[in-house]
Amino acid sequence: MNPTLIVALLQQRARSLPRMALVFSFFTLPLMVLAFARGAGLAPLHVGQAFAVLLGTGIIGQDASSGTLQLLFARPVTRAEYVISRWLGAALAASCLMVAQLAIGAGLLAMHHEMPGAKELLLFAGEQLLTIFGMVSVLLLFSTMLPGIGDILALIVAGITGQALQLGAALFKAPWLARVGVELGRFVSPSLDLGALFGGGPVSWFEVVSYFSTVTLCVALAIVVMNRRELSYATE
Amino acid sequence: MRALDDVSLSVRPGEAFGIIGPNGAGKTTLLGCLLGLLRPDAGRIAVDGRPADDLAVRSVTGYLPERLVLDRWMPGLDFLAYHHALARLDPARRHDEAATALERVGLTQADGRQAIRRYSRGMLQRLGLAQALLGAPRYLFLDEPISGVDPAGVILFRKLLGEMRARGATLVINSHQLDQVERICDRVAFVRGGKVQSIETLEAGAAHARVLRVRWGANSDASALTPERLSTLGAGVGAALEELKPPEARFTVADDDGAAKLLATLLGAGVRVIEATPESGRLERLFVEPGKEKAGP
Repeated sequence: MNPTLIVALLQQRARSLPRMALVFSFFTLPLMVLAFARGAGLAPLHVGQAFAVLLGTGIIGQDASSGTLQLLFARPVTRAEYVISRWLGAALAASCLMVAQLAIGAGLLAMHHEMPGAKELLLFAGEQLLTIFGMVSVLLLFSTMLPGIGDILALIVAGITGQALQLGAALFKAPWLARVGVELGRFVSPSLDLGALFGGGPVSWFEVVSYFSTVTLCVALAIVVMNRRELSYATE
Repeated sequence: MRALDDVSLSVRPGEAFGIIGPNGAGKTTLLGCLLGLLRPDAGRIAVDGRPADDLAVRSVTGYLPERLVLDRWMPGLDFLAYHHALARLDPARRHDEAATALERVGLTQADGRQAIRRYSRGMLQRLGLAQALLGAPRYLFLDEPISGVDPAGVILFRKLLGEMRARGATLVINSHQLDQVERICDRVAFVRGGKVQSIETLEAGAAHARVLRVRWGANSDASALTPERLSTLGAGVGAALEELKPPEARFTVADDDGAAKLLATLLGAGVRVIEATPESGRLERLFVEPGKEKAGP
């Protein structure tokens, strides 16, 4: 992990006006819902995935397309260091936004005397955190392979394909196709239901292993792809 | 298509080594390989005995790319501070060294506070050189370093590169500016079609024939300025008169010594020489493909 690269990533993201406008919207709108609507609970704050997408889109592809990587990798910086710093930078920034939003949201709920319990808050924060790190890792992998913000397109296409496969499975009564669709969806949107995990019932180790293996695989593959990449002057 | 083929060369410590060649010859690819950004399919590249992409090598390497693509939102000083940090230089001296680097290349502190997107082409090139010089690197790889730089900048760049050499830095320069390559480099590799066609030491280059353009003043002895007389004077020292268009003439001379003898002979014959310039640099002849010397109108 390289703090210089993380700070540079955050500055780069903060300089993008459309990106920041969307982040601001996803930060404030759910809070406004909580401020004016009663009984919504924490549901409007399920926007960790949006923060991850907004801060993670083009996480490597934009650097690769702009041609700045050439100068960067002439410095004593390993490609693995770069990939991990980008991943952590985007995921930590999205996590900070999520935590800040949750803190304000909890305050608003407390004003309405609807404050959730500490366990519920912790589980919510934990789930959002895992979703953010998972989503950024998937974007990271796609971003090493696609130029510009092609990663978000790949994510959308993969998500739609997963849904289409599940629909097709229902039409053709093909359970294996449904399974493929579910797994594809699980891959492009890794998350863990901590409520179910810590709800007192039997622990689904498959879910736990599936989440962590997806994240690890995405980050590891992103490093492999970057390590194999040759950097010419040609913009992509 | 092979971008490079059977390339073998070595650069001596402290040397200024030029890479020249026509467009598409593979010069930039060669530089990319030397920096470890591109990987050759076969062969080995070593810098100080280590692989080109070794972090120990990169920590003592400065690089100025041909197409300088920068994070355009960054102010110039922040860009230098960023590269200072990436180069793992002393954080306590980051601000001072970034400011000094900026001034060394002729940019002001006010320039440094501006976002890079507001920089002109020449300013960008100066900023690029400033980042390459951060930490006084032992190896400097410069790809078209003076492209887009004004004459004052060219003189400054030459001075800075001279200072780096005086400190013992090894320079590898890829450039189409042959006159500058001649002035900076000790040796030059001529690359064509992905192959190193020749490696020239610039001293030895003096032995090659070239055309000298001689211009004289109005108070010259008119009897010495006839085509016959000038031909005879030239032939006496091994030079051939190519063209006479008073008040100047073009002579082909065999080498530096031939040029000196021709000038002495002309002066002795009453020709008041006020200017004598080589029509083409020593390296230009390398670009003339065998059998195509007479091509053109």
